[in-house]
Amino acid sequence: MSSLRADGQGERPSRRLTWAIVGLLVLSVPWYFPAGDGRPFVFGVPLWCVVSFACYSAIAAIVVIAIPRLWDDTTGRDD
Amino acid sequence: MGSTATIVVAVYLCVLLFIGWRGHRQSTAGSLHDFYLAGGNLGFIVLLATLYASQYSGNTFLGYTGQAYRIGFSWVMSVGMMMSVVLLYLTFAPSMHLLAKRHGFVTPSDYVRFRYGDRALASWVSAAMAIALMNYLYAQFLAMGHLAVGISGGQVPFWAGVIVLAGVIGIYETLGGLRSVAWTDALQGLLLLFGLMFVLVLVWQRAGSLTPITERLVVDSPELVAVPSWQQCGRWMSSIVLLGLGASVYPHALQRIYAARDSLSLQRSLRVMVVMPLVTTGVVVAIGILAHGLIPGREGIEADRIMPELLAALAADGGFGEIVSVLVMTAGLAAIMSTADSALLSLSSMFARDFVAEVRPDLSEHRLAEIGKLSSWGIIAVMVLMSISPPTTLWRLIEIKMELLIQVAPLVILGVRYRELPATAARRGFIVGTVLALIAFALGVQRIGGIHAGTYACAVNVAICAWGIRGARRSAELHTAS
Repeated sequence: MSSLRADGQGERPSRRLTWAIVGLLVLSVPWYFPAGDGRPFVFGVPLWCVVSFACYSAIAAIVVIAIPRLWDDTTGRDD
Repeated sequence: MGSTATIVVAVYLCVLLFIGWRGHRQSTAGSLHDFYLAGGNLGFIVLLATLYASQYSGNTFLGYTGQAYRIGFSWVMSVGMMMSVVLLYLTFAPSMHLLAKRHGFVTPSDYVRFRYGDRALASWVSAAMAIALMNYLYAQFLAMGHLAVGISGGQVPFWAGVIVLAGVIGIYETLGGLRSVAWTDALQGLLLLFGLMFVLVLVWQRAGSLTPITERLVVDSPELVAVPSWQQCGRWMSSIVLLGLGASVYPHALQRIYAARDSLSLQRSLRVMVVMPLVTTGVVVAIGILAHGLIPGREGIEADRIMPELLAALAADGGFGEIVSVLVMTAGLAAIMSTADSALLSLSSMFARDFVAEVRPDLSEHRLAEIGKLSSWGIIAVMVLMSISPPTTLWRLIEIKMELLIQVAPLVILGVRYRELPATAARRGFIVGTVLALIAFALGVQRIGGIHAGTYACAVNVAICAWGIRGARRSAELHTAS
């Protein structure tokens, strides 16, 4: 669970994961949906809103699962 | 609700005072570090609770529900806004925590002094943060007064509500500093989280399925359901940037990063914090939309009263509905008080460390902590007076809280990430960004193309810092080559 290895050095953060989070953040804003009245609905929620919430859920999942790989404390260590 | 609610709130306030006293008993040294950072010993659970309670304010509870009711499904952006704060923490908190531990930082300006060796810049940063915090605190005091009136059913006047609640905050805070504040935050955070869940369940039960509500909104208020326009999307993205950058460098947020017991506690707290927007602002959005099924037709500023109206409707049923409604009102009060106590503690620490200690470096840590406690009462007195008799002219300046605060973000975040960032570029970026934000405010320009004026100013600020980093790298390369 910890990002800290036995030798006390932090792991390098994953750039790929960072870009995945940025990409999901951009996709969470529904700029790419064609203009419309919000249909279709999923249990009463417009699809664009469902997609947006799904993006935020995916970001949360990535951080929860991969936080050790996103944990960059190298500047503080090397200073 | 009047009498029952007043009794519940009175009990709640007594519990807060007891926690404050316990915090006082746990205090060991009279140093600034012990008082303002709980000795740098906040473990996972308490750290998580205090991060949560200070990030989600009374505005989340009352204002965000109204906003969801007013603008509809696009307020799902608030989930992204709150999540971006945690994502921004991840970019600098790990390193900043280690630096704080090693160099004994107490206030955000301690980091600026250490990183850039520039006392003038540290003072300016401190001033900008203090202005932003005053705004924050003032808004919480106003909200406390209004809620006191609402909870008591008008039995407690506005001024009395502000004085009593501010007094309770002042007592438990000066008793135990961050230790007391963090422990009370744990209670307040739990109340907020479960309060919102209760309201969602009860409102859902009464409103029934969401589908007919949405279908009706498509006819009556189509803009609440329709795909957001490009301009709205621009505002959405800008809000994520503005809140993420601004709230991640709130002084009380930075101080909690300093106060974490170790990296693992901080990491575990942020791991949970990233999920909290889904179950906090996500729930708020759902309540705001479902409220259309129970209380239709509120427009403009009326929408801001939707949560109290919902609670009043639940209480009118009596029995369980009344109990939940009282508890949820108390949760709202808890959310406001937890934000107010954090902002107040941070302000007093900045006064003691960044102002008094700079002018009188001969004073002992113990004396500075005592001065900090006294300053808390001074700030409370000013805020209470202003809440009861709001000024109208100069005070408008503090309305630009976030626009001002995000100008601090580049020199903090980029300063941690890029050791090449020179002090000159950080200072120039901060000054230019702040001046641009102030000019936009003076001209009354809030947004351009849906994007906040402060975000543009911050982009210029970042560009100046990036240029400085590039220049420093080139100089280093030339130096190496020669």
